[in-house]
Amino acid sequence: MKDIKQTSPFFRTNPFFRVFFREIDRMTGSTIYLFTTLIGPLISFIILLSVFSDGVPRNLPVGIVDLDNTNLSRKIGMWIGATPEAEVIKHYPNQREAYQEMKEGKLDAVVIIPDGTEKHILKGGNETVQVFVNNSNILKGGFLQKGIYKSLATLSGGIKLQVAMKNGLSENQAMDKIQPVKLQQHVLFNPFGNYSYFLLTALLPLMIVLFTLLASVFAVGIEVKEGTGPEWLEHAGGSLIVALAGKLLPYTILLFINAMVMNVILFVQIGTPLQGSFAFLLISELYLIMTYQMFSVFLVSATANLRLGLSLASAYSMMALTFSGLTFPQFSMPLAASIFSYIFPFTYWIKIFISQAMRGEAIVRALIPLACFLPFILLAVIFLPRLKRLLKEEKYWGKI
Amino acid sequence: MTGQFYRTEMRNIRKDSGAILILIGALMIYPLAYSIAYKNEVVRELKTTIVDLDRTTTSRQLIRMINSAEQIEISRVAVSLDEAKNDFFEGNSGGIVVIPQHFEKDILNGKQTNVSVFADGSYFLIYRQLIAGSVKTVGTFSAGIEIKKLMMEGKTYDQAEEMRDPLVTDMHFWFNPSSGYGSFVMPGIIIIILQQTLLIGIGMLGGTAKEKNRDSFMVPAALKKGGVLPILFGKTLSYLTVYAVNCVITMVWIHSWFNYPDRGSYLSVLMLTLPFLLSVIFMGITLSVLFKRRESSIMFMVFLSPIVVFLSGISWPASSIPPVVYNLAHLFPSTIMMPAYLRIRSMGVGIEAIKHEYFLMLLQMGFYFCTAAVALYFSARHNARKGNNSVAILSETEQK
Repeated sequence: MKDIKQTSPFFRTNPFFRVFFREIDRMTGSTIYLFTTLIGPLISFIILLSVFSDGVPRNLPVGIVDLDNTNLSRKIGMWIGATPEAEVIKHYPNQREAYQEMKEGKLDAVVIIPDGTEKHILKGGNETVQVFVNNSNILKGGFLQKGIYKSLATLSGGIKLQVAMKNGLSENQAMDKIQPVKLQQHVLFNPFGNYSYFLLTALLPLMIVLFTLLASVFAVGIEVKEGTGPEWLEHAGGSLIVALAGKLLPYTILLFINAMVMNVILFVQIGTPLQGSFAFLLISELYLIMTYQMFSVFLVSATANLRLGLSLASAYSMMALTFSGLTFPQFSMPLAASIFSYIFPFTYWIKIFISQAMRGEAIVRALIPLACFLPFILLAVIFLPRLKRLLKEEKYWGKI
Repeated sequence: MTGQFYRTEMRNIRKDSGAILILIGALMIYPLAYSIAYKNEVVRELKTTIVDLDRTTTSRQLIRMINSAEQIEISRVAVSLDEAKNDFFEGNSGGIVVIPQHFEKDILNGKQTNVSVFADGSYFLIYRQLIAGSVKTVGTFSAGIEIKKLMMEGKTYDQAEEMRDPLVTDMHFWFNPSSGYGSFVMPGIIIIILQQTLLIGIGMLGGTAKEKNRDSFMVPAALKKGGVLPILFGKTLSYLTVYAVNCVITMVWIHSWFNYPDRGSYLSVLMLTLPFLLSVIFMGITLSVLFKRRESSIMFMVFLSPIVVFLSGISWPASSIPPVVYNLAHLFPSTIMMPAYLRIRSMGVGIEAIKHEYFLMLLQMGFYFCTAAVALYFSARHNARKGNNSVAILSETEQK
């Protein structure tokens, strides 16, 4: 790039390109820049992708206390172990030993089959199987409940079916009798119940948001801290707009490349549904990055302090996931918290992503959240005069 | 000697608004903000659209039952699936339940009938609540019909009840019976917040010291035989003082205010937390010598926070993380701390049930103690050699 700068008079004289190349020179001077624009995002993508490579939790450890020890009770154990969610790791002679292992963290659920289960059932009576699920992790608890409940209910239904057929009903008649109303479950937009779609589609863009904020606050804030503002503005021919555009563009390009890598991971690697317009998603990603860059400019202008700006930027990105409502929905939050959730552009991004990737809604529906990025940019614009003062006046410099 | 270094480090913290924000302020802001967002713990009264294609007494009876489920609130009874779909896409409901035509007739004729539920899989908790609520209601409704029919055949109520479900599943959800979201994630999130703020805060103090060449007075002391130990102890004690207060705020106050799990004894919590904090502090001091600038620790470490959350096994089960990745994650004290701490807090186990993790924790503490001492020694030698020039410490770390 240096060659272009030296050979072509246009790049040497045009204020925008003077700032652009000045920034690239600065970026080669410290590992911080390379880290926040390329290495950091890629490392996080790789780690997160590998953490969630399973898609759904499988084979959670279950212990069985079989006090009956009959064909039926062994069948119960096998059926539970055959579900994808659960794996029977051990049989225990009594409940106490099983609970002890649960306390040591070796079991997530204990199933107790009482003595006489088979005998009672063959006589036409019923028997209760106690299931104790460690629900301190509600994700694991939910998956185990689903797996264990399903296998026991199926067994129970099978026993009823046999009884009914013994009494002379056809299989269809028997089915009608044992389950008069059946519930058919349809999961919209996430047909495989895949938990990693759900988390990665939020966590990967969150990483891009985080690095956008850090890189941009640092790039602008360091000029204030080191008092290089006048020289920066001089390169831009005195225009702050040109100065910012030239400075931020290299980051926009690099972070957008990260967004492309993210798209490949999401839509190709893990197979997230892409029902709507990919072009619209790309434009939104670019717009998201630019919105957060402008918000970074606002943070530096408002705080006049690089370190404080970075601390706020960190908090602003860390909280974005919680308040996006993806993990815990906004309508279940207290009013103050659900209002607070609207001060994060990320919240609107999640809406755009769900609308265009998962649901495939008409683009019109995604335009409203997209328009909500605008106020954040305007906020930065309002603070531009103050930023110019910070850059020019020495009394603001050197603050840590 | 230790006392002198302790006072120096306490003064460094006190005089640095950036360090105070991270080491004290963040410990109030993050736990409170997240806790307020999760204050209602569960998603109740999820707005649901019903499509009643039958419009009979029986279908209305089912609608009333669904409406009384705690998870569901019927926001609209639609006459066609299209109407319900529109309602859903406009964001007025979280899912759709469809009661088919001839619902009542089929039930009276003893034919099986299908109720369908369409749940929004793009939001995990919404999907989960709607499915749970409708499975329960439709199951109860179906059982009621079965019992009525069996009683018509001349069985007593008790007999009918027994015949209806030969193998009864009695599910018990231990340690978080209501599946509260805050109670599930917050105890672990607090541990991550303690760890990450400590690492970043210590890194910031280290980077500042290097920028200002503040530690140069320690050089003569550090280079004496065994001389780094008083410095290490002094620094460690000062961070420990601050974090003792933080632990009371987050682990006691926040827990009792928001009713987070608190079943273990405080003695066990203290016995586990102490080596955890020491481990984190030693790790922080080790890393702090690498940071050249005041901002470096934020730039290089903030991105790890959300990643460490998912590596620690709080929400995504550790057994579903690829073993290589999970083993590497043991570099972070939180990975060892998390399972042990959560068992103490949510299951109320004593220290004997976490022996394994405790041993690992002590081992890790010893390891980071050594690395911290070595790091401080090399950092001092580097300072001595370079005199007053505050330059990169990188060459030193390469020698290691």
